[in-house]
Amino acid sequence: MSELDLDLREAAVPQERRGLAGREITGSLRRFLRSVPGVVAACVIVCIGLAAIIGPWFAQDPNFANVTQSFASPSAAHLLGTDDLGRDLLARVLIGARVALIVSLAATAIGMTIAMVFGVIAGYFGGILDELLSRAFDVIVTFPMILLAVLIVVALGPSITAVSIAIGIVVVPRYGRQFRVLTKSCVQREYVQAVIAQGYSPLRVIVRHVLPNILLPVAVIAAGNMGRLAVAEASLSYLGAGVRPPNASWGNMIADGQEYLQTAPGIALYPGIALCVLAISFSFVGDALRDAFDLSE
Amino acid sequence: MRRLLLRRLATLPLVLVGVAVVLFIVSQVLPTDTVRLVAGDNASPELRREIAHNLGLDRPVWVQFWHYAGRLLHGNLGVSIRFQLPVGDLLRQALPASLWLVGAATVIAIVIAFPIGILSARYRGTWIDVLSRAIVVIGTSTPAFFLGVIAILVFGYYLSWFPVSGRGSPPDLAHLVMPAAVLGFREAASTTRILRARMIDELNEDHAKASRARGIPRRSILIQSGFRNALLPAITDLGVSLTELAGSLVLVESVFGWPGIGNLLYIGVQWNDFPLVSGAVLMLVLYAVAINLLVDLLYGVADPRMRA
Repeated sequence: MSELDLDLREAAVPQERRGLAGREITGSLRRFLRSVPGVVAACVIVCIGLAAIIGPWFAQDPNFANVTQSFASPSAAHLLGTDDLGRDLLARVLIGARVALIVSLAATAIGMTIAMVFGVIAGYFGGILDELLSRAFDVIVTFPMILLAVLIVVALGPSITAVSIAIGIVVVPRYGRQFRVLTKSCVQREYVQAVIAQGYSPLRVIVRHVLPNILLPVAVIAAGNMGRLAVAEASLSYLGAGVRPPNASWGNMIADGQEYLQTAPGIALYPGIALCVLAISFSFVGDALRDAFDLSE
Repeated sequence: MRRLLLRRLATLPLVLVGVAVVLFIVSQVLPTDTVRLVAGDNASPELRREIAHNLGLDRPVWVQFWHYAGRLLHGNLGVSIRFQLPVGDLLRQALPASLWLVGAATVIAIVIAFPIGILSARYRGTWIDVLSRAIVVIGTSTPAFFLGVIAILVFGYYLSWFPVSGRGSPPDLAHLVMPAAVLGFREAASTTRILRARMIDELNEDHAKASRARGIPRRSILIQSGFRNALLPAITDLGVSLTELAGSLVLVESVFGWPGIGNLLYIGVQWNDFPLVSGAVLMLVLYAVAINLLVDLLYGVADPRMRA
């Protein structure tokens, strides 16, 4: 049987297999664009993202301490004033935005990848493998999210990488279950059964016929979830199991500022407000996306 | 019900073993050289080997795990590096404070979630509905520790209503108010949302319409058709929030310096005190597992179908 022969036979499989049809996706996007809170929140996130990328170039060195300038009120030199060590608050809030976004992106990527591997394996092969992986997901889910992440960060030693890995691992069962369920229902469809019946290897069936159909729904849910991951990063950094001083993260800035709450509330309030705005925006976007793509978690 | 309960009880050991495995794996990943910690930097290879043997570190991993699990079963959680005291004793001392906090927070959550959930379903689009939506958004999106910081700023410093830190000596209610309110508020958020949404669904069902047609008073319909049917999902959700609470507990206790398990975890993180951290995590996970079981039991009480 020649290679060409194989390809022809595969081409005979109904067209439905090419993932969500393009029209369906544009339709969902159009529905998303009609949701006012969703679009406004998306714009806010884009603005925060741009500020995080570009801002630190124009702002001052976020770790430059100048004790003679400590607790300065907002001025032309320091738009948001300075903290207890005379560091520019605006620069630190901007760097904090970068940390929050990097960690939530990296953790989403890590979590989605691991979840995809295990979830698809469980859903595709079923049987005892499915049973084992599902139980493992159940056990990890019993761990409250922050606790497991703290444990992992303490074990790895606090750093941005450790925080991303920790949060990534924590979300694995959440997305893994999604992948598993979607794979299960996808495999039962006729076009996948047809490809399997033709004797293609599981890897090929999964990569070319299953994944394109299930990636988007999970990715949409993961995108809406990113705010929670940013909050998790801040929580870890607040506890000291995240980004460690002198490097700035919204979490450790709030921890730092709590001491001076009475005299200089801005030190804790600015990063906290930024974090809330980001988290609330993501939750609005997440809701709008879920509605637009007609998904439920 | 009995079957469900038995099944849950059967998975309990599995969960506990899983938790022990996770803790063990994490402690194995720790980049600390235990032998060097005990023997010092200049120990001879013979001495190092002897110490490793005495600590059981030269045996296969699964043997080490067996011993580790055995120690856990006997309640031996190791000695805290920071306090130089057995972790078990520290946790036991901190437990009442945490239980008080969780209990008070749950009462507050129920007091917030149920009336507001019900009323916002009854009076849709009015100010109470707006209030409920605000609670939901703020409660689910604002990180627990920042909510705590704002509470300290407003009610502690500006208004000076409540003390901002600790539990007071002897413990008093004034110290409990803020941490419990912050924790309870967060707990209430998702339950309020579920209750409102489910009640609106139920009140649109045929059985509710039929009751209205028969002239049954609106208040009775609200309770009989709406609340009774929305209660189950609300309980389930409250259970989930109660489990999640173990995480927020750590943050809220750290913010308010509340001397509970969560605060011990916080101190452990600050001092790289792994025995203390893992002991506190174990304790909080056991709490989460217990809550899960309790919710299943409550489910049976609230839903007669489950008792069959």
